[in-house]
Amino acid sequence: MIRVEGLKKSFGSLEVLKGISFEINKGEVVAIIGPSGTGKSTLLRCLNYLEIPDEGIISIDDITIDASKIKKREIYCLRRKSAMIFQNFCLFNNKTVSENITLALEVVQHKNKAEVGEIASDVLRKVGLEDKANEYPSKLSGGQQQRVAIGRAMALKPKLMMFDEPTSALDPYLVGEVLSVIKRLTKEHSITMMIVTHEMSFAKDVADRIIFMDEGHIIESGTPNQIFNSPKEEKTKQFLNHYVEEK
Amino acid sequence: MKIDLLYVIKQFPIVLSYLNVTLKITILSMIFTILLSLIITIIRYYKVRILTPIINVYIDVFRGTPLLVQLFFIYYGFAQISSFFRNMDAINAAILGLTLNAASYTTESMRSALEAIPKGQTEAGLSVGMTRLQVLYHVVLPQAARVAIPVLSNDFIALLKNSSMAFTLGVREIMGQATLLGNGSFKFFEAYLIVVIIYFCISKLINIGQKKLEKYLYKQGGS
Repeated sequence: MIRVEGLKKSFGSLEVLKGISFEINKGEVVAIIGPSGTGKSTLLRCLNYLEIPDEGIISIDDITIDASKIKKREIYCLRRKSAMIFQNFCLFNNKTVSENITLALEVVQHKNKAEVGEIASDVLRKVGLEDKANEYPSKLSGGQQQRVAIGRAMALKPKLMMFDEPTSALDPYLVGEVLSVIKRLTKEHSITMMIVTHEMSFAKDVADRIIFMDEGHIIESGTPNQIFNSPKEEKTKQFLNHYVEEK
Repeated sequence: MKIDLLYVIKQFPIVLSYLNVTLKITILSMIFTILLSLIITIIRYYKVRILTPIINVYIDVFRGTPLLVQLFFIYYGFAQISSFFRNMDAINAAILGLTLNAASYTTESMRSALEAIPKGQTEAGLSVGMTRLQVLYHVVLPQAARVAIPVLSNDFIALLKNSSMAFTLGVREIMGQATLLGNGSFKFFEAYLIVVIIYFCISKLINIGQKKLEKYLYKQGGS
């Protein structure tokens, strides 16, 4: 379903991704953990070409691209396979909540108004924000904004949903509502998901598989039980120990 | 010397009757300026090859030389080397000069407004599958417009005031008419007082329009 091979990305002389390869099955929920600055977010951003990878092969659903010889059209095709949830929500500030959800459906997927309106209210019900349909993002709390962003992504019916630290910009007491929406999503639907997170207990809870990254490499990957209870690699142990201490 | 207020009152309508020329110059220049600077801004925003360096030279030249020099260069200078300019009316030359001049400033205002919109807005748009142009049209430009309005209306007030330069090309607008009156009657104080009042009132009107527009756009969307 999703296959990445030899993905590399440098910013100037700094090599952030040093050849990443992995596969994800349809419907699998994968949490990516690791220290800050090890390329977790860059990895997600490369998968929908918000960052342009230097080399590597990315395959999502029936689209396969080779970063060294990609065409503009392919980039748009690739992006349409996935949806992204950003750390700082990134709702369209000039659109209402429901317009945020419907804009891409109309402009990109060319659905008609009636259809789009139904999708929007359906999605808003799922994230528990029906009453906010006509509000502008600036009137919502961070947690509500992030739930709208999740709704916006859901509405696209993507093959892959990517969460880039979805709760790290939120107040501790707003984290819960967002995590529970994501959790519900992982149970209700069979969408493939990649979640970059620092919420270890959440990762343990929702993920089918954990990928541990450090310094631009995938160090280890396995079931939550494996990674959290009996990590093989020294670096993984160190990271998890450190995490326990911090908590 | 005493001030002849009666003269001011009597001549006011005569000067005012040339307001349509001033407004024609200002409004046409304004429309062309918006169009031109929008195109230029988008070209620079995307760093289009070949065009961007040419545009940068144009901006440098027009911001680095006085408007009066530009107008003379276009109307009197180019007239000697091109029949197109030789046959051009003074008023059209004024509009051309003012547009080229104003656009070199407004494009900077527009650029700073575009750059004020967080990158995340564009990224979110791209991530849901929109093309760059669609993101620009649906998301970035409407937000940038709101940021740009106070600055742009300053640019337009400058344009209105600069339209008085058209008189140096022999266009008879309110400034030209007032000068003629002054020359005839030697009542320069009174003649120019009329022009001061008229320019001030129109500037004020643009200002009020700006406030109204800002309020409207604020209602249209969030922050």
